[in-house]
Amino acid sequence: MANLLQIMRDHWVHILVPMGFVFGCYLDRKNDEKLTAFRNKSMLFKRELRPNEEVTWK
Amino acid sequence: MNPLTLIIIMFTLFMGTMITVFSSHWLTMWIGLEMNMLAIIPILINKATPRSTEAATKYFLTQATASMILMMAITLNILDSGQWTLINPQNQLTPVLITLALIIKLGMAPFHFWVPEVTQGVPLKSGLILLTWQKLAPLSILYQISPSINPTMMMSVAILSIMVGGWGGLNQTQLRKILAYSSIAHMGWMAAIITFNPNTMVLNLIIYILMTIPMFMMFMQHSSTTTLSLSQMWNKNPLMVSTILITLMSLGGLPPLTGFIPKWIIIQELTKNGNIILPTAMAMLALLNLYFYMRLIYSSSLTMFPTTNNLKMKWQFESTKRMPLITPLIILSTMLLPLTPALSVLN
Amino acid sequence: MLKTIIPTIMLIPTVWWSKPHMIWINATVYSLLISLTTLSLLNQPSDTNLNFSTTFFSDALSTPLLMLTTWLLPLMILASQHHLDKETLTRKKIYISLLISLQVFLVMTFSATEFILFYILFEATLIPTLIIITRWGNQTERLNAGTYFLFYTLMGSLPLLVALIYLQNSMGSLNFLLLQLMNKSITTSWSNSLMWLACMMAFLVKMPLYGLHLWLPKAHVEAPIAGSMVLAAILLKLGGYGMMRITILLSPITDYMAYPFLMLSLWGMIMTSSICLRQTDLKSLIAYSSVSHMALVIVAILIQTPWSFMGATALMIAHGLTSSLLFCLANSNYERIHSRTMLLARGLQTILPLMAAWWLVASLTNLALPPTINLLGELLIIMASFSWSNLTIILMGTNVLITALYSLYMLSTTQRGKFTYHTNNISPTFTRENTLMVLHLAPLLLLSISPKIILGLMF
Repeated sequence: MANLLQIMRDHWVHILVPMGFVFGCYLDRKNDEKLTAFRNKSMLFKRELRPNEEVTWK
Repeated sequence: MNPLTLIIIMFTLFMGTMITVFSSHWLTMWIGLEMNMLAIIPILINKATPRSTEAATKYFLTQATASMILMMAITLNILDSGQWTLINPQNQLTPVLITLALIIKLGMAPFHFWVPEVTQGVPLKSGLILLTWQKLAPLSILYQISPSINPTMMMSVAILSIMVGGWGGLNQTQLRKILAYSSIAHMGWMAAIITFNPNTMVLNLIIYILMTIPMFMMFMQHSSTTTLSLSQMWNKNPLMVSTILITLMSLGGLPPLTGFIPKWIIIQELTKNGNIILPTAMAMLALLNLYFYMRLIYSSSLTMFPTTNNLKMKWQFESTKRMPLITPLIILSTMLLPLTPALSVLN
Repeated sequence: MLKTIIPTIMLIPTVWWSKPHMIWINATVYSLLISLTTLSLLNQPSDTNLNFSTTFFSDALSTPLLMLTTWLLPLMILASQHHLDKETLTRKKIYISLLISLQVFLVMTFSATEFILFYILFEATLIPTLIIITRWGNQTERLNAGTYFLFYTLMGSLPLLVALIYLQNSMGSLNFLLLQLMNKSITTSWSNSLMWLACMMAFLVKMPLYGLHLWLPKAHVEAPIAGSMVLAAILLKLGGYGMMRITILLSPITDYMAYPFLMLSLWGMIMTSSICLRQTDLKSLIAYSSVSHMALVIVAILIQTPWSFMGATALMIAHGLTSSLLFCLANSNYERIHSRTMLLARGLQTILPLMAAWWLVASLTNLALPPTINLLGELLIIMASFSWSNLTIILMGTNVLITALYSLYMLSTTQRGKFTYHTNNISPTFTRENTLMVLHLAPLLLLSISPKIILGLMF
């Protein structure tokens, strides 16, 4: 257990960049959803709205 | 200075500006300016040396002249309109005279000669008050009479100030004079926009003050008044050297920093009003300012001064001068540019 | 685009909190990983562009440049390890942080959707570059070089700001994606011609056009290795990228305003290549070779045909990798000989044979040997300019010849001949340096298999 803690203390910096990547991906995905929600009239770009999700162009 | 005296003087200084800003009566406005001017004199000769006395005298003479011209303009206005209220003057002469007086008070070209001399003669702290707080009262009057200011006159003053502010600083090694010339140039930018959009002028003033205060604070921290003493800062406080770099670049108006906001918005306003040549010329002349900031940057942070000094390891000792506000001010003075979209309220 | 930008920003705390012996390794590995994630940009399902948000997008023109940018950061970090050997830990960290912040700005510049945002970020790249050149350069002339670099760029680009704001007021928007769809062409008047100048001059200075190029050799010669690499590989391409974006706006005026600049770059191409022939300074030679190659790109963009745009995009990527490779090679010589003079580093082939192989390949790609992408770019440009005016083939052909000559001159001076006494006890090549060269050459050679990904919008 103490060993694991030691490893954590030594190598915790390695989490920063992957964390940034995951966070960036998450924000990009949210943004994509926001942009495509406008297009739910179009046959080409439409996206299935989640249950209870309102269209944004209303 | 005796604390009681200091409090009284500071209060008078504060009240003078406040009276000018909040009154709508020409006489009270004038009285506010006078109070302000009389209160700053003891601050300027805080450490009585021949140099500071000379500076205070120069300041007093120019300001008194300006006050008298203002008084004359007010009198003319009363004879003309019959009232003391600050409404936009109707005749031609009055606004010209008022603008002239305020230009002298603000130290814009061609009446700029006192600014570097006075700033050089006084301590850094007084210099800071001189270049920031003292601009508020005259600019508030200019703000209020802005619709009746003669645009041609103001534009000529603006472009001349930017030119002089850039040109004069080129040959300087004294930090206070450099900051004085930078103040002249920034006043020029404010003068350029005042007839079109006074709110932008206020924005420029706020940002200019925001950038000048940390600059002076960093110089005060090390009591440096020359480029030479600035160049020995790297082994006293290495971190501050890099903040000086970034703050100076912001003062010069390089894009991703706060100093670019007023330049951008002023260029935008002028372009919207059909001026193309003027903002281009102003932006080009602002490069002169950037040039002498770059020289400060070179000597302070991008080179190490070849000197054997006995100041090694001075950074290990804690500074006795405590300036808690310096960090937030530096952050504000460099990183505000992403907030620019919020400024659309100015229109 | 945030999935590239945020991890790049997170690289800075990673470097600052890493253990002292790990900073170079961590920075290199993670930046390499980030550059691998940008490969996903190549998948562009819609024909026109990949729309990430209202602020950032990428299309076939910006994707190769984005990938080049992210690819170059690990290479810069690899290359500058020796240069910073004797610095303190904090300064190493500051240096790496500056390189990372430069990458953040560049990624945002290449993916901005708005012209004003593009302008701000275009200028923002000046500050880290300036600090890298003037703080970590070697000679005192670096201060002069920094001033030249900053003020040439600013003098060129301030009129651009005014012109952009004017255009925004008259057109209502400066969005790249919208501008492609607007067919409102500006009239041909004197003032609009001046506006054309204001719009193009910023990018022509950045490229640089012959006559406005004086800052470039100075900056290259004085900059530390990473500064030279990023300057040659990416910052010059900002000019080409900006020109390709802004010519959409200026359509009828470019037809007649382009002539003097076309002439100047055709002539300057010959002049700068000839300057290379009598150059004694290795880094300066590579810098002038950059100017000559960039002149080709300027010609291509000003001719404004689909083929020339394809050639310009391909040559920008090819030149980015090649010149960066040449600067790395020059730097590996400099670290051993401590001089940029070519005559002092003769006959290195016998001492550093593997390095000689890299020199050979680098010179061959520089003179556009088939089947490299350099050839592809130059060929497309030469054909496009030939069909624009048959006479240009004289200048273009001469330039190709002179390019071959100075590449050969550079190769034979540094690699062949008897070696001098002071090169007796130089250190052998490190694995780090060989890796660096391989990482430059691999994309160059791999791209020649499938060059369509760097042919830009028109392909």
